[in-house]
Amino acid sequence: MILNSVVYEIVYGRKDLRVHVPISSCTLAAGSQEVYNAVEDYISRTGINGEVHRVGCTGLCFLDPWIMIAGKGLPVAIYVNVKHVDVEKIIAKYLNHDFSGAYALRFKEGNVDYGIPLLDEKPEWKNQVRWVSRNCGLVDPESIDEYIMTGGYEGLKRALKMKREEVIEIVKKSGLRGRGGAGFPTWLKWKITYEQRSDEKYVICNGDEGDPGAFMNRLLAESDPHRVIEGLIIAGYAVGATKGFVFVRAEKPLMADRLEKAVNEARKKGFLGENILGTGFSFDIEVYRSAGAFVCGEETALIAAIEGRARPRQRPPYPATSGLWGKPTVVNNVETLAHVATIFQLGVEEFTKYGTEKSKGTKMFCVTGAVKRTGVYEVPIGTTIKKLVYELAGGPVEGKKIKAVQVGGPSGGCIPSNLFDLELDYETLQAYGAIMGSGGLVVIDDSGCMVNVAKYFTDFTLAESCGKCLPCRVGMKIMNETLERIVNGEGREEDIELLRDLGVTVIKTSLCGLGGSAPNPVLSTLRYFENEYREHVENKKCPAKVCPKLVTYVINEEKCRGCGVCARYCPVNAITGEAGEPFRINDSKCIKCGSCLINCPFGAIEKI
Amino acid sequence: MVKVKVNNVEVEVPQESYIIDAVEKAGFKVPLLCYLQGLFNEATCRICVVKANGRVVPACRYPVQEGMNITTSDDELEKMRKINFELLLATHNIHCWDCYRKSTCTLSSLSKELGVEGIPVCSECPLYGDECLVNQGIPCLGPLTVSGCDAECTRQGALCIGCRGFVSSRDVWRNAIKFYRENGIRREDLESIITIFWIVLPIKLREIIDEVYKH
Amino acid sequence: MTSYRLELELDRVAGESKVNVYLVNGEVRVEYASQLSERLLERLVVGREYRYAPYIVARICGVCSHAHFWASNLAIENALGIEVDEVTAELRDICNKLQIIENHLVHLIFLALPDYCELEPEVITKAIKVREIVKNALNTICGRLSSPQPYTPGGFIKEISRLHIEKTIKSIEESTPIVDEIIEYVLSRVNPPSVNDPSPIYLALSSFPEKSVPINGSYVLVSNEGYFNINEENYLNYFNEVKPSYSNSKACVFNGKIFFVGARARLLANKYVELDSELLEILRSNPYSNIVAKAIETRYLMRDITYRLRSICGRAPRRNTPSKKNGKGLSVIEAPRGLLIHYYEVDENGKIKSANIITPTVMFAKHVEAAAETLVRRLNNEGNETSTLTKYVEMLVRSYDPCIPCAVHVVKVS
Repeated sequence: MILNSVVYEIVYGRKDLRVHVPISSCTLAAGSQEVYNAVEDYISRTGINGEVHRVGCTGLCFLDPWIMIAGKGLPVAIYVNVKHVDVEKIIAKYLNHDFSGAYALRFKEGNVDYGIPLLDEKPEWKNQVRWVSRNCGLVDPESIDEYIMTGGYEGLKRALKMKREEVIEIVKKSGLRGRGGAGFPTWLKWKITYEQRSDEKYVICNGDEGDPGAFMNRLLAESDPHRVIEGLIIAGYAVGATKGFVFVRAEKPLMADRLEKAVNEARKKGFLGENILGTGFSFDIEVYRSAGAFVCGEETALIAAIEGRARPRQRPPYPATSGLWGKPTVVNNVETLAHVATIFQLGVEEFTKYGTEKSKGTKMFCVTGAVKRTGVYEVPIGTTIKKLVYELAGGPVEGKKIKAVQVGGPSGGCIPSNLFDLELDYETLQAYGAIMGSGGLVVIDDSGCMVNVAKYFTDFTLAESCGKCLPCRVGMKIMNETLERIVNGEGREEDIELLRDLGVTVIKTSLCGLGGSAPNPVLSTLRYFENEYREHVENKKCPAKVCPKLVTYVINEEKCRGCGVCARYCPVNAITGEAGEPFRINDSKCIKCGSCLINCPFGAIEKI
Repeated sequence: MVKVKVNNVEVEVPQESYIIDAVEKAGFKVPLLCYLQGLFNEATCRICVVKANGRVVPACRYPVQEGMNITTSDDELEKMRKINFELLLATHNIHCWDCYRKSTCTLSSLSKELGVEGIPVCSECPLYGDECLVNQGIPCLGPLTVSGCDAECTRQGALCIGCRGFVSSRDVWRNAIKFYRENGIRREDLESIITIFWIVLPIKLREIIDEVYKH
Repeated sequence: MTSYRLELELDRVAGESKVNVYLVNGEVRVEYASQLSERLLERLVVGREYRYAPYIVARICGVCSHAHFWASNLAIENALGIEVDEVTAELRDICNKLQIIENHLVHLIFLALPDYCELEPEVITKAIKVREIVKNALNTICGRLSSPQPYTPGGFIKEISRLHIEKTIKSIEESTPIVDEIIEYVLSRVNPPSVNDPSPIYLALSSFPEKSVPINGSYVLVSNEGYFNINEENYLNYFNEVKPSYSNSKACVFNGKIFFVGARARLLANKYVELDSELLEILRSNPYSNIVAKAIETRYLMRDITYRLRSICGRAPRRNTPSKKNGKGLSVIEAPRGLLIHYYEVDENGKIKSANIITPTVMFAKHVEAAAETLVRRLNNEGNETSTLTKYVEMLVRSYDPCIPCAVHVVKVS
C-alpha cells in the first residue's frame, strides 16, 4: 500500500522514530500497558528522537500485544506477541535494519524485498474490506485531529449542507441495513421518525453489545470513536432530533471513557452544541452508562433503561413513533452509525461496491473458538462461512476438525460444517435456523459437545431474562432444566419433543426479542445434531466427552510411569498410587476438571 | 374506523382499537388472563395470543390495521396457549383449599377452557375454612384430585374419593400431603381412601407421603 | 324340519350380549349369553373399610348406580345395626324412584318403542325434556346422576334445603302431564305379540311402592307361590345361582323355579294400580307385557314421588351410628329392572370380609331363555322365516331391559 501524505504523517509522525502501541481493552488485557511503558522508558533512556503513539486495536486479537515501528527511511514493521522485556531488543534490531522476527510489514515504499510479507498479502488481512474499521489500529482514538486528518467529520459537513430528506435519501440509496442484528433498513427507521411531529426527538446509539464473546462494537468505539459520534450527529440531523445518547455498559469503562472524550472534543471543535458549524442545527450528546443487562440490547428495554428501569415493552408502538419519554426515537447500532459516517465521507458508490443484492456493504464479524486466528474481521456481506473460518481465521487448530459454527450468539443458531458454503447474509442464515445477529461467530470443533453449547447459551439467556413475560421467564427455565438433566445423564425420552414444542412456543409468544430468540441455539442444535442429543438421552453418553457426568477419566496403565504429577494437580485428591506403579483415579471423587489429563507428561490419561 | 376480518367475519372498529376489541365486536372470544380493560394491558401472560396476518401477537395490545386478517384459534395457537398456561401452573403455588378465590379464580376457569389438568378439585368446592372436610380431619381427596367435575360430591358434604384421577403436579402433591398432615389425618386413613381408585400410586407420590409422614 | 343355529347380536340393550338359538331335530334351545368380561366387583370390596364399599359398588353400572349405592348402604347398616331414620329412608326411596322413572323413560322411548313404530320427533323432545327434569331433581338431592355419594351408612351428610325440595316438587308436578302424554303415546303404539309365558312366576318386594325396610330383620318377598321372609342367613336357600358355560354372567332360580322380576312382577304382586281384568291377564301371561307394565309404573311413580316429597319437605334427616362392630347384613330393594340383593359381612376391624350381589338381570336370565324357547317353538311351527324369528326374539329380550354391566360383575373368583 502506498502512503498518502496524511497517513504518512500519522504513521511516521514528526520525529525519527514512532512506535505505535495499541491501548484498548483487549490489548491491555494482553499486557500492552507494560509494553507502552517499556517503549516510553526506552526512548527516555536512550534519548533517541522518538515517540510512542497510542493507537486502537486492529481486531487481529491473536497478535496481541503487538507494536508497529516506523523509523525514518525504514519500512513500517509489525512485531507481535511482544513481551515488555523484549521491547528494547526489538527496537534495537529494527534500527539496525534487522527485521527478522517481524510478523509483517505494514507499509512499504519502493521495491526492496526485506523477506517479510506485507500485511496486505496475508490472508487474514487481504480478504478483509476494512470499510468502517479503516482507522482501527492506525490512529490515536483520543485525538480528534487525527480523525479529521483521515477525512473525519467531512461527512457531517456534507450532510449538514443537504436537506434532511436528501440525507435520508442517500441512506436509502446505500441500502444500509441495521448492523445490530435485525437488519432493518436504516433509512426507513429514520424516515418514520423524521415524519413524526414532535417538539422533541431522540437518537440513541446502542452500544450495549451483550452477546458473550462479541466485541466488534467495543473495538470500533475504542479505536475510532469519532466515527460513531459523527454518524450519530448525522442521524440526529436527519430525523430532527434535539438530543442524542450513547448507551454503553458500565462494564466497558474504556469504551465509555473514549466515547465521552470524543463527545467533549467534538463539542470543542464545534461539531456539537448550539448552531453546529453555523447551520442552525443544535444537537448534543450524552454518554449514558448502564448497569449491564443483556436485555438492554433490545431497543425498548434500552429506552426503558434510560428512563429508569430496563424492561422491554410490547411493540407497537415502535420507538420511531413513541420511544424515549414517549417521543419519537431512533435506536441505531454502533456499527450502523459508523457506516453512516463513512458513507457520507466517501460516497454511496464506495459502499454499494460490496455486499449482495439485498444487503449492501460490509460487516464486522467476531470469530472466536476453535480456530487458529481469533479476532474481528470485516468482510463484505455475502462472504461464505468457509472463507471466513478457513481463510481469514486460519481454520482449525492442529489435529482437530471443525464441526459447526454458532452464528449470532445466544440468539443465534449453529450451522454444521457441511453447510459452510452458505453465504453470510441476513436471509440465508435465517433460512437455515441461525441469525446474523451482531456478527459473533463461535467455531466449534469435534472436541465440543453441541448439547453443552446449547446449555451454555440457555444458562446465559435464562439469567438475562427480564422476567416480564411468561414464556421466556418460565419456558427458558424449563428448557434449561431439561438440558441440565440431559447433560447429567438423566434425560428422558420425551425431553427432545419437549424442547422442540417449548422452544417454538417461547419463540412465537415471547414479548421481546430476547425470548423470541433464546431457544434458537437449542432448536438449531436439535435440527442438525439430533444424534448427539439421542446419545445423551438414550445411551447416557457424550460423544465429544465433554459433559462431566457422562465422562470417565482413566489412567492407561501401560502408559503410566507412576510419576505422580497428576495426583499433585488433582484438586480433590482423587488420584492415588505409589511411585513407579500405575496410578488410579477414584471416579466417585473425580470432578472431571481435566487437570490431570493436561498435565500428564506421558499422555497416559484418557477420557472414555 | 377501520375494517378488519376476525375468523372471516368482517367488522368495523375505531382506529385506535386493539385486536381484542375487534374480536369482541365480531362475537368471538379469546382466553384472557392478565388483561384488565382500561387498567392493564402489558401483554405479559401471552395467553391471549392470536394470529394477525399470520403473525403471532397478543390480542390485548396489538393495534388494528385496515384489512388485517385475524385468526383467534387454530391448532398452533391452542397448543401455544396450553403450553404457556402449563408454564404458569408450574410456577404457581397451588393452595386452592386455602384460597378464598376458589371458583372465581381465572386460573381455574382457564384450566377448564384450555383443557389443562393441573388444578385440584378444591378450586371448585364451595366448602371453605371450617366447612372444609380436611380441616375437620376427614381425608377428602379433593386436594389431590383433578378438577372438572364441579365438586359435586363435596357440594353434598360427602368427601371426594378421587374418581377423576390425581393431578400430575408434584408440587401440588407435596402441598396437599402437608395439608393433610397439619390437620392430623392419619397415614392409614389417607392410604385407605387413596387406594379405592388409585391402586397404583406413582413412585414420587409414595415418596412424598413417606417424607412428610416421617416424623 | 330344518336345523339351524342363530347367533343374534343384540342392540338397544345395555352392555353386550348375544342370544344363541339352536334348533336341532325339532329341539329348541336358547342361550342368553353375556359378552362383557368379568368385572369381579364382589372381590374388589373385600378388605376395604365398610364406608368405602358403596363407592366402589355404585360403579357397577352407571345407569342404575343409585340402586346399588342404596342397597349397599342398607346392607351395611343392617350388618352393623345402624338404625335408619324415617326421613332418610324416605329420601333414599325417592331417589331410587327418580332413577326408576329415568331408566324406564329411556328404555321405553329409545330402546323398546322403535320396534313397534317410527318415533315422532315431538315425543323424543318431550322425553328428553322430562329426563332433564328428573336428572336435575336427582342432582339436587343427591349431587349427581351417576355414581353419586349423597349419603353414607347412617344417613345423609347434608340437609337438603326446603327451598330445593319445593323447587323439585314444582318441576316434577309440571312435568307430570307431559309424562302422561308420553305414556299415552307409548301405550297406544305398543302392540306386543302374544306368547305364553312358560314359567309365569313373579317375585317382588311386598312393600313396594312403600319404602324398603326390613321387618323384624327380614324382607318380605311375594310371588304367586306365597310370601317369603328373606334374611342374611337364609337367602341362599332360596336363591341359587349357577354359571352357565356359555355366558360370563350367572343365572338364578328361586326355590328351584325359573321366575321373573321387574315392573311386570311388581304390578302383579302388589296391584298398586287399578287394572282391568283384560290388562291383568295380559300381564300375567305375556312376557312382552313388561313394557306395558313399565309404562304404567312410570305414570304412577310421578305422582307417588310428588306426594312423598311433600311429606318430607321441611323435615331434617338424622344420622345414626353403628350399634355393633361387626356382623352380616342383607338388603333387598326394587331396582329399575327388578329385585336387587346385597349381602356383606363386616369384620371387627370394620373391613368387608365377604360380599355377594344378585342383580335383577341375573334373576331373569333363565326366564328370558325359557320364554324365548317357547316363542321360537311356536314361530317355527307356524313356518316363519328366520328373519321373523330374529325380530321377535330380539324384541322379547328388549322388553326385559337387561343390564349386562350389572350382570357380569357377579362372577366369583375362587
